[in-house]
Amino acid sequence: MSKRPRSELENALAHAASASPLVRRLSDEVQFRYRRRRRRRKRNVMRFVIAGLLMMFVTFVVIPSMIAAGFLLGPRGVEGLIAAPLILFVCYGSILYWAFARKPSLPALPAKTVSVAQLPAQTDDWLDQQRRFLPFAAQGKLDSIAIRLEQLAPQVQNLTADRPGAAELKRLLAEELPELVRGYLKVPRALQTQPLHGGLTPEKQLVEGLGTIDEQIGRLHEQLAADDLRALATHQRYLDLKYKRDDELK
Amino acid sequence: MANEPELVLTPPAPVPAVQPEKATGLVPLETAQKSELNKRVDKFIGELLDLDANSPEFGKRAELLMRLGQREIAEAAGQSNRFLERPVKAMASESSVGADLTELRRTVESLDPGRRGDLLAPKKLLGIMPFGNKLRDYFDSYTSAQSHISSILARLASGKDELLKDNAAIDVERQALWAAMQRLEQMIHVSKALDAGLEAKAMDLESLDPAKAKAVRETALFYTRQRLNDLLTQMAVTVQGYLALDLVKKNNVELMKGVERASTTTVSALRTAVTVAQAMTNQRLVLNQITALNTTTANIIESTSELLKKQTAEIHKQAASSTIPVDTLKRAFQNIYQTMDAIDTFKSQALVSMKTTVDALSDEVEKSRGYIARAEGAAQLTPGEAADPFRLTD
Repeated sequence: MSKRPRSELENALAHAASASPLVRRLSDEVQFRYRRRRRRRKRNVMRFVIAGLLMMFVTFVVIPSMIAAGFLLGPRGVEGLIAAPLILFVCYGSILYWAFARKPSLPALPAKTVSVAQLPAQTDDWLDQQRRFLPFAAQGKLDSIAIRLEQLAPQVQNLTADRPGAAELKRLLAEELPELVRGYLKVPRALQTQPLHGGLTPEKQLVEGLGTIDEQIGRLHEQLAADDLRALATHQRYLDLKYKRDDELK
Repeated sequence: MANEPELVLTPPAPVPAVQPEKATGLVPLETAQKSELNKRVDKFIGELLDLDANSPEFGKRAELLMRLGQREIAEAAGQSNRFLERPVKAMASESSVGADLTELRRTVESLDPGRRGDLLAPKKLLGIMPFGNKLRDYFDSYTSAQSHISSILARLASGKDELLKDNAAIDVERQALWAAMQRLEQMIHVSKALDAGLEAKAMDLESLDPAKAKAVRETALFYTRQRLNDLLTQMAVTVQGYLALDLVKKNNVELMKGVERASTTTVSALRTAVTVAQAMTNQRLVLNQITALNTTTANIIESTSELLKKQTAEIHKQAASSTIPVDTLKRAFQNIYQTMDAIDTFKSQALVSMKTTVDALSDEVEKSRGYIARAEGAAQLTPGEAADPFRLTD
């Protein structure tokens, strides 16, 4: 599928983004929300589709098999007449329950064993699931972290564990961030807004901690991109030195 | 050719160790930055002294000083590995260019008319019977050597590109180092201002509140001085690395000049040979590969084309007018040797100064690593804390 051409609005946004970092950040956020909404919608649609398919499958299995049972084991009369729709409805019910009413089980913590390349996506998913248990004040920071994780994902695709920054990233995303969130969730709900020893409230501590992690992810991102940035800058300079004649080289 | 200026390649002097106390002030700070930093220092001292010396907040604020410039130091230290690698790598790459130059020399020597005896003497079979023509044989040897020479020249041109890339990388690295030094300088300014401010306040407090004065001296002032020391050490290493990179760059520029000149003189000698062959034996010496090299390489090798253009006319004139055109050819070969000797001398001298620089630098980097390790240890005592209050820009 070819890439969708940019709309005029997106072009305008991109143009504005190149002018100001604030606009770029806002545009990133808008795009992020848009993508996230689309992802959720897609997830819901997928659930509908899967439930529908399963129900169809059940229908086509149960009814013929009842008929077959009638032929093979002899007719069951009223018993069978009641049993067939009953089985069908029980199946439908459990499928619908599985698809919509069941609370999705919490995904496991981002594992320490997972490769660095998958870590941002996994942490992002995990954090997304934790979101509804976290206070409103933290939502902005969570958004910001999610955006950074999304941007980080392609950057770490080819990152091996022995590269500098890889271990640091792993510790931050697989240990330090989950520990902060879990630490907050362990605090009883009533105490979450009570200041500790006259200091910060747990809620505030969570927000501050998330802010620090957010910044650190940004810093790591820059650090990981540093090699590529340097390579590009070097090449540009090389072209300058080689082909621009009136240079200091002369 | 005779009026061609002699090639002089000057190796830059080695970079000496930079003393920490002399490291500061090399990177100037703007007045606006200084006053902004001073304002922050005053604010910090004021806030610190408003607190009760026994309160945990006082301890927390004072500990902030323990991490003063921590990120700046780590950043600059992260680059120290890279600038140490550079000169070492440069020494290695010089040897690859060196190998090509040696090979060129060997090939050129085999063509040198000075080493072929008297080319004009008649060639005799078994020393008695006249047989063939020495001069003709001599010029024939060019045809077989030309592909070899052109491949060496192409390798030299790409070696020169490597040196150029190296210099581009150094430029980028120096830019990053300069930025790192600016941030270090800011932090040094902050620590000095803190040192002076805290000392003065402790003095004032001495009679009013001796306990607080003691607390200020033993925590805040102590940490500040420790950090100032670390910052100055790191600054010294960074400055030294910055200068060492410049040395590598200058070396590369000189070496490129040498390589260029070696290529030019070689090509020019071959052209002379073509002309001389035409004049003396009426032999059409076809050095297609070299001629092709002229048109393509001349664009790459700077100044080659201009020099050659100027020389070709001259060679024609000389070869036609001079009674002994072979002398012209011999002079052309002399030019090649001179260039190569100049490069050899340069390389041996440059190697010495590069080694001195690398040794001095690695000593200092090693020393500074001790400080960094301590700074890292201090950082781990107090993980995850508010951002540095003195950092101007991120």
